[in-house]
Amino acid sequence: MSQLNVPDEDHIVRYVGWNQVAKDADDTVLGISAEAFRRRYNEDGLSVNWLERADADAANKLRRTVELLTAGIAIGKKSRVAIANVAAFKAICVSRHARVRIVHIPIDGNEPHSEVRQLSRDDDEILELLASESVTAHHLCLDVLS
Amino acid sequence: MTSIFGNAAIRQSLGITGLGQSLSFDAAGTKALFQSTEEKNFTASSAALASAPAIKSTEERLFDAKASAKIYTAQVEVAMRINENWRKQLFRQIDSVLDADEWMLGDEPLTTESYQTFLRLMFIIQPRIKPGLGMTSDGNLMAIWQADDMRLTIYCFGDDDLRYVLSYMEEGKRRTAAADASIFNVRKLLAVFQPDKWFGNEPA
Repeated sequence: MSQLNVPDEDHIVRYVGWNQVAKDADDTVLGISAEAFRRRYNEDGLSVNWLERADADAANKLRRTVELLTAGIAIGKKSRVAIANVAAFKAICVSRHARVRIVHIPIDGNEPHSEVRQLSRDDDEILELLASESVTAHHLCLDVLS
Repeated sequence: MTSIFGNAAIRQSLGITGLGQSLSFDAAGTKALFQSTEEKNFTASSAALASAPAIKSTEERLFDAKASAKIYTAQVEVAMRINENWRKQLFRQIDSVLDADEWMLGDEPLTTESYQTFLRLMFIIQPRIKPGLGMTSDGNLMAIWQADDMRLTIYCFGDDDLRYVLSYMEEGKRRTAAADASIFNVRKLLAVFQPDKWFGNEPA
């Protein structure tokens, strides 16, 4: 069965733990670090959620997405979600000669779950570019849920 | 057996509370831990903690990592010219990156080897602006500096090995660079990028 590509005009949302948030020595948040986009050794793809696919009206899609991303886990008070446009994300990868696919991979309890495939976990520069250029917004999970 | 953290003053000064009361070591081991302030290889986590039960909870592993980092800092603070304000800041940052409430399932706690490399890096480059800290999922510390739209991240591995990743804007385009380094040559490798804009030091 062919996998559905997440459309270029849509957005992906990535859960970012506190240790992958870029901050200064006083823990003032500066942005999202490249490490937030590095998949683990045992992961085939980078786990994200397809924002527009969330089963909620437009105003509540991010809230619903965070609910799905954090279901069953203890949410850190300082954990965040980072939002990126699919086209911009892929364009950055292409600029570094990486042809990634962002595909819809539903999982139990999280239908909009998707994955970024063929993104190297070892290309530090592409991960830095994604962190600094593709993220259009990032929010505290608890703020989104409140 | 006596507890290495049994002395309330030591516990207080290291900022170690809670689980530490359950950790104990023999007297010889305790003396050995504190006898040198210039040892390169700090082995508290691997040697003294090795006698602890094999299976530990995440909280216990995070506590061990915090304790190892703080004890190592206390050991070398004179030799590495760590003043009280910086030590307090470091301990707060260690508590922050090893906060059980923020921990992601499957991540590895900070390794002692990574922390040693980080502290030795700080001693060598002596940045006026101290970095923010983050961690990789496999337990390595990241030192992060950001000045305007320029960011420098230095990954600290064991054996004084590093990897730096940086990005900056040039003529409207974001440029990046990354390379392996060691604490001994990182300043030289970064020189072309004028790292003092991140470190806040006077240009050499």
